[in-house]
Amino acid sequence: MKYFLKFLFIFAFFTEFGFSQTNFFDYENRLKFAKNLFKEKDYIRSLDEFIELSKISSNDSLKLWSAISLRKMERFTESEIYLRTLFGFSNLEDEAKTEFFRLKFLTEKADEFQKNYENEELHPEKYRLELLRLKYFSHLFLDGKLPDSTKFINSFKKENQPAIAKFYNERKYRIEKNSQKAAIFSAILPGLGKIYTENYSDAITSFLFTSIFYGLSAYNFSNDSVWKGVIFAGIGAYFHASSIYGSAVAAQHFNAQQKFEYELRLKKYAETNNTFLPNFEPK
Amino acid sequence: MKNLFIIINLVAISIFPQIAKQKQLADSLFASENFYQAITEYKRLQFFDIQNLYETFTNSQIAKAYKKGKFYQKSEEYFRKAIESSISTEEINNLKIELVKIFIIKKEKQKALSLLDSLGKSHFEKNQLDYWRGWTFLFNYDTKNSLKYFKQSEIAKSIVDSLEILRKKEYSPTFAKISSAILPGFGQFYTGNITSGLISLGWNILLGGISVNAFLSDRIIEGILVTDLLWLRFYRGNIHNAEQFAFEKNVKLADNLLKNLQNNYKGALP
Repeated sequence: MKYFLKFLFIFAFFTEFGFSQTNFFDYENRLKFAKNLFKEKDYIRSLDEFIELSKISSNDSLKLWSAISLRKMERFTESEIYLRTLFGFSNLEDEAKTEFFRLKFLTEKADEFQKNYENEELHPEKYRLELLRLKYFSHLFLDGKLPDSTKFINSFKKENQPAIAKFYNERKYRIEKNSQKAAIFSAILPGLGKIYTENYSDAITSFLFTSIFYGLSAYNFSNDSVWKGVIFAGIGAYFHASSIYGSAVAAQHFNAQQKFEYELRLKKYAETNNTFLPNFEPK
Repeated sequence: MKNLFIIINLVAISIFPQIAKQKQLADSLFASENFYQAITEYKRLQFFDIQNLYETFTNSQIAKAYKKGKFYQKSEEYFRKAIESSISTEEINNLKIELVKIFIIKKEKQKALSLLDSLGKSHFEKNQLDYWRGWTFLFNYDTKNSLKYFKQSEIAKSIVDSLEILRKKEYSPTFAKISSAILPGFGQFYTGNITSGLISLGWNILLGGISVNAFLSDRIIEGILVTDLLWLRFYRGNIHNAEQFAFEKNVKLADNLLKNLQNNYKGALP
C-alpha cells in the first residue's frame, strides 16, 4: 500500500505538469481524432469533426477532406459543393478538381464524364496525365469507336497495362446476340432461338411443350374431336408464341447481362486502382 | 476484481483528469439518450485513453448506443471488441449475453444458440441460458421450442402463460397439408382462406375430370400428359399453398405476441 501511494503521488506529480494539460478539444487533438475516425471509416463523425475544426480555423485541407468524407457516404451533391468552393484561388485547387473528376466518374455515366472532361478549365494542372488515364478508361464503358489501342494502353502504368489490354479487347470484340434473329429461329423451330441465346434447358422445354400440344391437337383432329383439337392447337400456339417472344427477350437479356458483368468488372478494377487518380485522403 | 476496478478508476481519475471529464461527458450524453453524440464522445475517450483503462467500457457503451439506434451490425462489432478487451470472466459472460441479444434481434438463431451453448460450458446460470434460448426461438417463430425453454428457465411465468394460449390458437401446417391432399382446398378453408380454397377445388375438379375422362376413353397419352403437366401441378401447388397459409397465420400470431411482450413485459428483453 505504501509503495502504491508513492507511485500514485509520483504519477500525479508528473501528470499535473504533463498529461493533465491535454485538451481533447484543441485543434491538434481534434484533428488527430478526426483523422482516426476517417481511418476507421466512420465518415459521418469525421465529417462532423472537420466541420467543427473549420469553425476554429478554416483551411482548404479540411474542406477537401469534408468533400471526401461526403463522397465516401455517397452524399455526392454535397461533396461537389465543397469541392467547387476550392476552385479558383485555393492551394488545393488541383486536388479539388481531381476529386471532382473522380466524383463525376463514380456518379455519372461515362458520356457525362467525358462532357465534363471537354471543359479544359476544370483540368487540374498537376494531375493531367492521371486524369487522361481516367478519361481513356471511361471509353471502355461506351459503345462507340475506341481510341487507338497502343496510345490507349500505353497511357496507363506498366502494372495496369495487361489488364487494360484485356478489357480493351473484350470491349472491341464483344459478340452481341441479335433479337430479331433469335425470334426468327424460334418461329422456324420452337426453342432454336433459345439455343442461339445459349439458354439450352429453356430450348428443350420450349420444344417439348410446343410439339406435345401440337401433336395432341393433330391426334384429336385426326380422331374427329374438333373442339379438343382446337383447344390443344391454341395451347400449342401459345407456347410457340411464347418461345418466339422469349427468344427475342433472351437475346436482349444476353446482351444486357454481358454488358452488366463487364461494366461491373471495370468498376471493380477502377475502385481497386483508386480510379487511377492520386489519393488525397487524410493520413 | 471489483476492488481492482475501483482502484483503477480512482487512479485514472486522479492521474488523468481530462480522461475522467471526457468519460463524464460521454456518460451524460448517453444518459440523456443522445446516442449519436455519446458514440462520438466515447470514441474520443477511447482514442485519447492511451493506457486503455476504459477500452472495454467504451466498446460496450458504443455497442449499446448503436443498439439503441438500431445499428445492430455495428453494435455486434463493438460488443465483440469489448469481449476481446475484457479480462474479467464475469464481465465477458455478461457481454456475451448482450451479444446473444443482438443475434436474437437479428434473428440469427444458430449464432445465438451456439454462443449460449458455449456459455453453458463455462458454467453460466442454466436458467438464464434457457431464458435467452426461449427468446431466440420466439424471435424465429418456433413457439414449441420457445415454450419448452421458457418453462425450463422458470423465470418468465407470464411468457409461459401467453405462449400456452398462443399454442392453442396456432394452425397445424401438417393438418393443413394433409387435408388439402385428401380434399383440395380444404387446408385453405381450415386457415380461413376461403377464396383460395374454392379456386383450388375448382381447378382440381376440372383438370382431374379431364384426366379421368381421357383415361376412361382409352386416350392414355392425353391422360398422362394432362395429369402430369396440368393437374398434378395444381394439386401439388394446392398442398404447398395450404401449408404456407398455416405458417403465415402462425407467424402473424407469434408477431403479435412479440409486439405485446416488447411493450408490456417487465423482465429482461433482447
